[in-house]
Amino acid sequence: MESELRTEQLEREMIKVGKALVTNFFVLLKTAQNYREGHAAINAPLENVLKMVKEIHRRNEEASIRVQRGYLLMGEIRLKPDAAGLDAFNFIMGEMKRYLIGSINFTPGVTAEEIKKFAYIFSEIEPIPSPQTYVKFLERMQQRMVVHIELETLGEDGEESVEVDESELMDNRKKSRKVYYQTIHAISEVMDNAKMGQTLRLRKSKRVVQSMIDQLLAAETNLVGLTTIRCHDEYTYNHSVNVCILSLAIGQRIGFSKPKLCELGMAALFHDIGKSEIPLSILNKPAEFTREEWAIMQQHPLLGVKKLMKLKGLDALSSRIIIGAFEHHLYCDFSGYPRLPYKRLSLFGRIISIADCYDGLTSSRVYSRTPMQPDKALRYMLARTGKIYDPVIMKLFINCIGIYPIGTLLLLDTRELCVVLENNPDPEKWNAPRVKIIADSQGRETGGELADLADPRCARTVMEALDPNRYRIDVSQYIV
Amino acid sequence: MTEMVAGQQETVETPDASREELTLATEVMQSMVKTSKGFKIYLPNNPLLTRFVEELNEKMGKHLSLYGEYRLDIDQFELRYKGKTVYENRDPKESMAFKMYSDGIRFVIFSEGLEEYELCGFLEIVGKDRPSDVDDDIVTLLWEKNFPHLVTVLTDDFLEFDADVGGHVAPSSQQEKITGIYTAYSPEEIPPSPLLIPQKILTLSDKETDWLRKAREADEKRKPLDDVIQIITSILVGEHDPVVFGEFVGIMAKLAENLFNSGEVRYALNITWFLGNLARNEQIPEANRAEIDRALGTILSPDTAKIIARTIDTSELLSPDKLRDLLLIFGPPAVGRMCELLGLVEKMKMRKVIIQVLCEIGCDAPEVFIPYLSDSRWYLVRNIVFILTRIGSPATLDSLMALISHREVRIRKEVLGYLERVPDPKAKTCLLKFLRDDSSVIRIRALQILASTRCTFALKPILALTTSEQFQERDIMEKKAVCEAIGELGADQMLPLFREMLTKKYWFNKAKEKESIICAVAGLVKVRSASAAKLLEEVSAVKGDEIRDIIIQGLGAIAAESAKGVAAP
Ligand SMILES: [Fe+2]
Ligand SMILES: [Fe+2]
Repeated sequence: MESELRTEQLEREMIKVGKALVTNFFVLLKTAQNYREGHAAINAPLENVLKMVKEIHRRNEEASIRVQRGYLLMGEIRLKPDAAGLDAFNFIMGEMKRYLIGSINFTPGVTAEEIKKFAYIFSEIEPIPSPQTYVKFLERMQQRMVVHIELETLGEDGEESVEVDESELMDNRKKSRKVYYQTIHAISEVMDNAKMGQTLRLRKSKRVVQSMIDQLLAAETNLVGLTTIRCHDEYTYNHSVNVCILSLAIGQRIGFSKPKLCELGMAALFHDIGKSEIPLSILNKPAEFTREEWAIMQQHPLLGVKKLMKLKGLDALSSRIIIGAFEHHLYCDFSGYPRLPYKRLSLFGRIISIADCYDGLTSSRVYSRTPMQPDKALRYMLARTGKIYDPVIMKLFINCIGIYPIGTLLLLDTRELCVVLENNPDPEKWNAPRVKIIADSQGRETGGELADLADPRCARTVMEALDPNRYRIDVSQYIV
Repeated sequence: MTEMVAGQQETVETPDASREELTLATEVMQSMVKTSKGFKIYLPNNPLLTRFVEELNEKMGKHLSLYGEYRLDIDQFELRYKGKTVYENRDPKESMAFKMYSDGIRFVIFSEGLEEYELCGFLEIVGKDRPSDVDDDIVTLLWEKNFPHLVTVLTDDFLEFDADVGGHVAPSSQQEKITGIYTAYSPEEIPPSPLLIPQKILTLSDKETDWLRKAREADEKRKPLDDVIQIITSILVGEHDPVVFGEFVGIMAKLAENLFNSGEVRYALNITWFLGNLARNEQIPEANRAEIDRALGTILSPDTAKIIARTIDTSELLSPDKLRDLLLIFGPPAVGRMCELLGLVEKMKMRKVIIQVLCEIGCDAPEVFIPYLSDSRWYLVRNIVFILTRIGSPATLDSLMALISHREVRIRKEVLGYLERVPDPKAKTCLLKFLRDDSSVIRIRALQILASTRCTFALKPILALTTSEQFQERDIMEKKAVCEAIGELGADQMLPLFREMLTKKYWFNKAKEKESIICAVAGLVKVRSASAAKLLEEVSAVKGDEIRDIIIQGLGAIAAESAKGVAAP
């Protein structure tokens, strides 16, 4: 009898502490919404949350907030809101549902710094209604080294929570990198075989393009960010994979089906296969080409067609690849090369042409003087839209990458350095993307604080886009 | 049935699942195999097939609800469930295991919630017999279908990359490089004003959306192959570099050949005609045109010949005129293959076209035909001999002589024609051999040829024939032919012989006597001299009415002949 009473009292006390945790967490989130990270206003609510968490741990209970059948629970105890706490409850429940979070568990050892970062993630991630939102959330937590807070996802019906394998998340991040390297590997193998005059085998490439498309469709990672990876000495390999990624991004905007995307990806991946026939001394020439060398370079579309015609069986896929290789330098007004009585440009040709040019302009390759910054490259291409580039596809392309595409290295007016992580969903704010600060105004490397340049409280604007390759900075490590 | 679904027999491996689970897994597999076969045999609406599918769906559903997933390990010829072989088929054409394995699939996992359409889709893809030369592609087909409760794991998925290539996810310090920026960057540089893109550049107008839709539709409608052909066509029309031109001519010819072989005959024909026209285009440099001719000769291969023959016999795609044009485009380099084609085509009218063309273009190198003289198809040999006769080159005489004793009479007859036509004296000597041919038709023909070509050397052997015992057994036509040849070749010298034949008495055999006189008259008609006529008149006086009529007819023939002889010069 007495023990029962005691349990009841304990439970009442726990409910009280639990409610306090929810309320304090609510205040923290609200404050985080209104004050930038580092502002003093955040400190008090942060301390309150941490105090509650510690209190719960002291009682050997789990400091977790869980959504279940329309209620909030702490551990197994249902927290009934009173009139005063209703707002807090609804807000927390709403936030959790928006990010498809089923439960938040502050584990022992959690620090104020972690709780603070955690609170800011809510304003950093767009809660689009997609299972990826939750994954993104977890990824961001990893990026920000929030390790003592554990999340569970909301069940499919929005009620039950299901265990999520944390390692799977790591896998997601790795997966995108892996597919990039696999694609590099596949294209280099094909190109090397092509060089030696061996029969081309497309199967492996097809597989990697398929997994790339899977990732693209699942939005597990922003593939465009992957184009910042530079991992092979041979420019053509990186270029081919990048053109593949950028083309797929456009193809997805157009709404191509999976098989169509596969054809597009393959055509893009192999668009420069003809270069395998061009002597490396020209291909890798560190200076400008002579007239004769240009003439040889300009043979690569035809050399590509020649190589690809040797493929066994001319099916729809290999035909599309051939068309891509042939058309990608023709230009809209057919002022490009090869100059032949061929006056047709397929959608694939138009897409690959734009992706090719953009990557060509922005990549630092051996024979290019100075690679253009993404915004300059876009400016350059926009000026030639209609004549050289298809205006409609160009629009879609800019929609894919924004003005400062993911991975752009920016110098801010604060003389801080940052890397673009995400574009603002509002195109009008594309000159103010979401970024990761990688160095402070003194040029000291920082921990990678996130900033939304569109947020007026952020008070930073873009000065200039810099060329990461010129300074040999690997931006990809901040993104993927 | 080579397919084996595990039943009672135990596997060597120790399975890590309960007996019940394995039994059910085996039943699921049995049901899968049955359904997969059903797909091949029955129409989709067949009630039996419907039952199979229902049964499979039920079994699989039961399994999944009990055990969560149905995961198969794929080996080259076997499928295993938790260590137990549940399927085995070693026939690469049929085996589901082999098809998946060779396509790189190592596991297939069905999970709870699996729907009937996924199961059926899977079986249709995996179960279908596919020609082995099609490069994969079960993986792509499954990938395109995107079945939510069906996962395949590929060999490539096991491929890991070294940490130093792809693994460094954790950021490493780049302080040094960052410092580099701060030292290199001079703030005096005036940065360009940020690029501001007006909204109208970012959203597609209705017109643009419409354009995009139409462009997609147009692309969808076009066969990619058309574009490829168009590309190569434009290269051939626009490229002047002889090396590049030559390469692409070869590529185009190869494409035509491949298209023939893959059954795209219309395309293949169009390409061939295109190349043919290009070869006749005088604006193309001579050397390039020669290149085209050479390439054109390669299109007709033993395989394409089969396809073209089938096209000729089973469709109206090629009219006689078109066929003729096509063969002329293939040209002399393809003469050998055309013989092949001739051996395959059944339509008489079309065979004649081929023969006609071969007669026209084969004359420069008649030796190309020689191998076909030993072909096992008599009709082909006969046609080839016919063609060689029309060409009339002595170069092929030796090879044709080998056919003098060919067992097919129609061939021997054709050879005879060749020997008659070919101007080589050796050919005439060969004719003598036919005098002993098994066929009287041939013997008669040989006699006629020897006579008409005035081969006097044949007189002796022919006379010798008359003394042989067999000769008396020959029918009257042949005997007549012998006498005619003798008359022709021996002329007045033969009068005593004919006189004897005319006057010899066959007391008990009136028919024989008549025969002898008919033959003698025929011979004398060929002698057609005044002495011959005199002899006939002489004899007619002493003969009865019936014989006299024959003789008078002979006299008439001589008169007509000599009238012709007078008129001719
Ligand atoms: Fe190119
Ligand atoms: Fe390119």
